[in-house]
Amino acid sequence: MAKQAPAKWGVGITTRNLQRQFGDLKVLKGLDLDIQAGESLVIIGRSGCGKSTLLRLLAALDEPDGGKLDFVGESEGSRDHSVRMMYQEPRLLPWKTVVENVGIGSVEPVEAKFALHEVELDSKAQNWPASLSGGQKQRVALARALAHRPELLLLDEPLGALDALTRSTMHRLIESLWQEHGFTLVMVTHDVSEAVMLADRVIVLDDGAIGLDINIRLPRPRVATDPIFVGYEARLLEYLTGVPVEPADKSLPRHKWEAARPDSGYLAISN
Amino acid sequence: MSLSIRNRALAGFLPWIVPVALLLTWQTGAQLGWITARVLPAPTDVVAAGWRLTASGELWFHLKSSFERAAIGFVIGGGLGLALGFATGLSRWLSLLLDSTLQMVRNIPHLALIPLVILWFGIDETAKIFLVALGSVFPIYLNTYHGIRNVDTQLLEMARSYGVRGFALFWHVVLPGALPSILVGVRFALGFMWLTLIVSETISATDGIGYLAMDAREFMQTDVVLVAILLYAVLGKLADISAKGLELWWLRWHPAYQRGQGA
Repeated sequence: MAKQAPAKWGVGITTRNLQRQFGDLKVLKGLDLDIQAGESLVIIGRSGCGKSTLLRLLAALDEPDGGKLDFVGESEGSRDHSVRMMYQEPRLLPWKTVVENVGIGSVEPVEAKFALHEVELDSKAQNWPASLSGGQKQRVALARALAHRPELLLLDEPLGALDALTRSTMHRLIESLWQEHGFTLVMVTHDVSEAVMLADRVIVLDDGAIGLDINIRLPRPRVATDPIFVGYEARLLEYLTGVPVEPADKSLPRHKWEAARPDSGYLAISN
Repeated sequence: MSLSIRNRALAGFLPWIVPVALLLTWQTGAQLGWITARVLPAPTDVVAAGWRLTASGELWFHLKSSFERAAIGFVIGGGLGLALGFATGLSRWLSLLLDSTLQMVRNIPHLALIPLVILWFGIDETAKIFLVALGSVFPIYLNTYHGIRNVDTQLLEMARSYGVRGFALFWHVVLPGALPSILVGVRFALGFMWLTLIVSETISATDGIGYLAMDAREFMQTDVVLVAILLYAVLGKLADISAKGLELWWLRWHPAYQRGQGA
């Protein structure tokens, strides 16, 4: 079990004029996006902004109506890279034990056990999924994705249904596994705090196009009470809601809070 | 605590009161001559008749013939239902081609075909097996088809995107997903199987439990008729228990079939 995960570089992604529409509804209106290999990108936006559609295109679960989507890596242009997705629901096969679920899609049993070890669920290997808690189920789903040694891991709001404490544990787990494996991470979420916690870069999708694109320059592991962290959160919230956000900590001088917004000027801030 | 133990003992005892009371009334009624032996012989007489038939080997002979008919007919009908259900469940084209016809045919009560079946096959073994097969084909077909159609599409999408395709997808995702429904079909089919067997054996047979009952009727042996009826009840119950056993084993992952394993 002392098997070391093979060091692997994530794959980069380039989209040009990417389009997808359902009937008359244009969900993605010519999206240009470059994702660096090994980057952690978080996509946020209101419901129906096209973020899940974009994720499904990246996962090849859906085909674009126009434009280009390329994977930038060793075999450039091909879609042969291992892309794995974690869904909003765990989607475990209830008739297979936990370790069998991790091993789905011809994964060696040793690999499956190791992936389960990585999410700290060794002890549940022989259990049925029905006996696990919500958080444990999502950890199994994470192990299942990792067992394939993905170059790109897509997360479609996988933590939405979990309680705050479990979610915070999952953030640490995902972050450490991302750092260790070096895959490219693309995550969709509603949660601004989750975005700032995990992202190298956050993009806000607005009506099928990129509305805001900012880099989160914070050392890891991040602390949600850090003033700069709060500043990033406020900035994203302001963009999403259109309403200026005041810092909870009123004692913090206004100028300091403003300074905590890197690359400010993206956004016209009131007063 | 002591109260709950007493309640549990009571709960175990309660269901037996009515059947035991009925048996006692029946026995005393028969012994006192309130009920004539031709209408309803005493339970002890029925037991004696059963013992007599067992000892002479007659019972086993008829039981064996009936069981063979039931098993052969069920395997043929069930297998055909399963195959048709897989075909229409997995292929949209085959479903369009076959399903509406099968739905129409299944609405014909299969026992209504008895005159036709006698014209086709005469009154020998083939006719009986044909009827049993016909009785078990549709419950299994219907439940297999619906089971496959109702497999969670989210699981299918997940499995495909994890590289599970073709036969592996069927074996690991589609079949287990449809199994609860298929097993419901099996239990229905087992019920139809016994019903059909009883009817076809009372029409024309030279062996089997149905024959045993009809032959006894000719000689006014009401006790033997009752033995035959009880045998059907026991066989039906056994078939149901084995189907339940299959459910317990195959669906052991299902929370509804787990006992004592806390969530």
